[in-house]
Amino acid sequence: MTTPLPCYHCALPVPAGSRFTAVVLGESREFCCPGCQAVAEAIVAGGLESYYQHRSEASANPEALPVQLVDELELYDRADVQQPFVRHEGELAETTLLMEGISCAACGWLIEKHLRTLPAVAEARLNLSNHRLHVRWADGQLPLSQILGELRHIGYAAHPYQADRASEQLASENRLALRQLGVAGLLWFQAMMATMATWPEFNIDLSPELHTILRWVALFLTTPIVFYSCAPFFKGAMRDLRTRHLTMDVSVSLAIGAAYVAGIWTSITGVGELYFDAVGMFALFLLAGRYLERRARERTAAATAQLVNLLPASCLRLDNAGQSERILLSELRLGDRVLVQPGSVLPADGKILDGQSSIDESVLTGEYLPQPRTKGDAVTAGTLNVEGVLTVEVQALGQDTRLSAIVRLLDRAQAEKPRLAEIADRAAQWFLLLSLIAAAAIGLLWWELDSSRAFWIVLAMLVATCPCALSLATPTALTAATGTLHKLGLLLTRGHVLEGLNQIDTVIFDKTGTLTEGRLVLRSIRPLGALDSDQCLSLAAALENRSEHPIARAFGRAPLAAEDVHSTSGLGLEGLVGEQRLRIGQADFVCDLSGTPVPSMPKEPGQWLLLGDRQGPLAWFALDDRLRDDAPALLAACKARGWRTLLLSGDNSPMVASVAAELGIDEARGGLRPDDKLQVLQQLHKDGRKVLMLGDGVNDVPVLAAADISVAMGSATDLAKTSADAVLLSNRLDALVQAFTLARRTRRVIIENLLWAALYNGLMLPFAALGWITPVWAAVGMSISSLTVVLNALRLTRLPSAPAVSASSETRPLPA
Amino acid sequence: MPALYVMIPAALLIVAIAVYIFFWAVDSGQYDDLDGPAHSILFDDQDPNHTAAVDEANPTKADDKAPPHA
Repeated sequence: MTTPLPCYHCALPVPAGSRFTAVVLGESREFCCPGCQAVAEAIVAGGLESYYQHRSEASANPEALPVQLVDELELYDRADVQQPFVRHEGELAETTLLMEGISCAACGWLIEKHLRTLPAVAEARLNLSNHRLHVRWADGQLPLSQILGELRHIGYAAHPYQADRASEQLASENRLALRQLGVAGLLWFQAMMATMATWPEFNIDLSPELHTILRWVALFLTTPIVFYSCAPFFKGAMRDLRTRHLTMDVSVSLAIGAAYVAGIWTSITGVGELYFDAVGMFALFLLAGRYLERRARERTAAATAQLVNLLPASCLRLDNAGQSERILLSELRLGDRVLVQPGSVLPADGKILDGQSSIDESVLTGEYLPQPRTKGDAVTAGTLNVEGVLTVEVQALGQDTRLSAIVRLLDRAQAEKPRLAEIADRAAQWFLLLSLIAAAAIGLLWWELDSSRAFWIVLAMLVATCPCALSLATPTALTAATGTLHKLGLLLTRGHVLEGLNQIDTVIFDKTGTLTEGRLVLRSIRPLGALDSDQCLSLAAALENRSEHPIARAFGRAPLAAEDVHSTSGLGLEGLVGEQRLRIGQADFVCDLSGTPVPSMPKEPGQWLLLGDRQGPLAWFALDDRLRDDAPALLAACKARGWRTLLLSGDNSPMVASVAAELGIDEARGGLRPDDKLQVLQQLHKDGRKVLMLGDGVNDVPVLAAADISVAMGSATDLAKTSADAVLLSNRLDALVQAFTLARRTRRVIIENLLWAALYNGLMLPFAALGWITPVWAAVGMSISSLTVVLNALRLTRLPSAPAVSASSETRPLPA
Repeated sequence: MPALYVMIPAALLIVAIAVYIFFWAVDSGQYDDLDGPAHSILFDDQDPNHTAAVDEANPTKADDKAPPHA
């Protein structure tokens, strides 16, 4: 089988036999679906086709974005709906929208440019780090729904954004951290100049009067650094002392506090040495390290956090006369009757009153084929209606739905999440204990020898051994590695992932959408009668043309459409192509049409469909949820590290066992509910295992939340992404393999850094104890050691090219 | 040395102004997005409309670089 041509817009494979082309950048390009084609045409029509030159990642597939119906968007024009998120200023309205479908920086350029061409839009600014779009526009000329529609045309879904308390707090914390850093930096430069002028090494002809003035100026400048910028260290130290832990914060607070208090004494009396510049330097270096780490960690974590929209924003309610009206989900009440169109998501738990259809429950159960449901059956909120129109009576809403039960399971699982120990914390404890004991011993010794110098010697020791480089060792390494992983397409949202990856010994995989692509593709065609496979394929594609069923998508969109198509839930489709009446689906159903016996099904595994007409069966079609190309490499990498692998799936088809056998997974279990999966994980935890979980569906969410480290696929549901510690944005499993290697390198760099820092501090200790360390030497030594640590960490920003080659060579013996 | 009596207060004043401006910049969201503007300025450089205008300004160079479309 040849590799399919990737879609020019979204890079998904172009299905065989489909013809969607558009002229972009002077050449005719192929697209996978009419959605991508329409978006590309809209972008070209807007004169913004150079977007395709700018972008560094493939765009999001517009059909993967949530469905936004025109009448649903119009709900956003109602004043009462707008009230919470739109502000009015004279003629202009102002709002913030959360964008979905942004894949790289060029998307921001495209969105801003496109909106600014609309005459009614005064301002459009997209924040790439949290995917929020700020728009100001003339409300009277252009309703909000049209702005949302315009964004939809160029391939993005926009949702009204309301800041919740957590994200507001996060934003204000970020700003506070930046202000503290800025104050430390700006004031330190000045304090350093004032302090250095008083040092004997630089002091040429300073009058005693000026000497006093400079000391007071330095004190004046250092005070805000200590009380404003260093507040997080003191707070952290207090918290850790209360819980009886010795941490980096304690050590840093001790050095800063002692140097500051001694500085006040020196300013007043003129006796002793000034360490104000050291205080500023500590504050600046440490705050910079922490700020960088914070930024790297939160990059797009906040963006996805908002999008927990598993339910549709609106639904169609039926009144007593049978008329449907679109209402917001929040207006829906128990006992209401709702009309659910094919292709839309069920808004609430309920019972089917009328109609029959197939329901795609894959987000909840992991089963990859839709299940037939008919009158009287129960349906669940968040699942997708595939085929027929359903009338559903609402029986449970909001908090009472099965979906919410899973979310509650998630909260519980998160609370039980084990915390992995961090190397730096353990190192800091030992280091601090040793240096405090040494300082106390040396202090006592000097007290006996020369009591007037004892205090200054102890102070010099505290300043010289302040673990500045030690506490930069981890954040700088983690920041550099996080940035590198982001380039590879793995976004870390919580800090412990890189260090934790080295402690993992068990990996749990989900099947559908994780190891497999999560959508059916056509694998082979077996013609049975007069027609060859191309003819059969075009007939089948014509029949499946309008269907929303996942099976239909595998056939692509045909230029030819069948007429008079009926779907029989769970059995198949029937329709007219030209003069020919055709059926496709289950073998029995298809052979009913011609009254011929059922031909024997080919032996190979997969989902087999039969196509037939009035004369008899025409061809077998094999459909399969294909394994991702890089799944074997990932499994090989796990094996190479000696990890135990498990496959836990909600699917109870034989696919589970065959996937496990093909990939050589140690243990596979199918048909598991979310709480079963969680139980398996808890059992593993009881056995003392450290577990990495890779998943994508809502049914994986509790396990993702409870696992030591969890990774969600980029195509995963939003809830899964927010509960995971890392998101595989690119959906490429080999990025994960590279992450394993990088985690090893990071650990090595952290240890190297800790050794460097400890070595420096250890060397300084005897000199400080002898009383040879003056503020100049303390400053020089500290800068050099911190610089070494930072430069060493920067080695991690180089992309690991060599390990990738060795990883792929390991996989060669395995069948792909 | 008397110059220092003027320079020190001047330095303090400048720092105060710098801190004030920095606080204003942080609070008005200037530092919220450190990635986007860095990219968009480069994209604008390659924008056909923009390069067309540049070509017009330097007619000698316009010949060897024909834009793919209008």
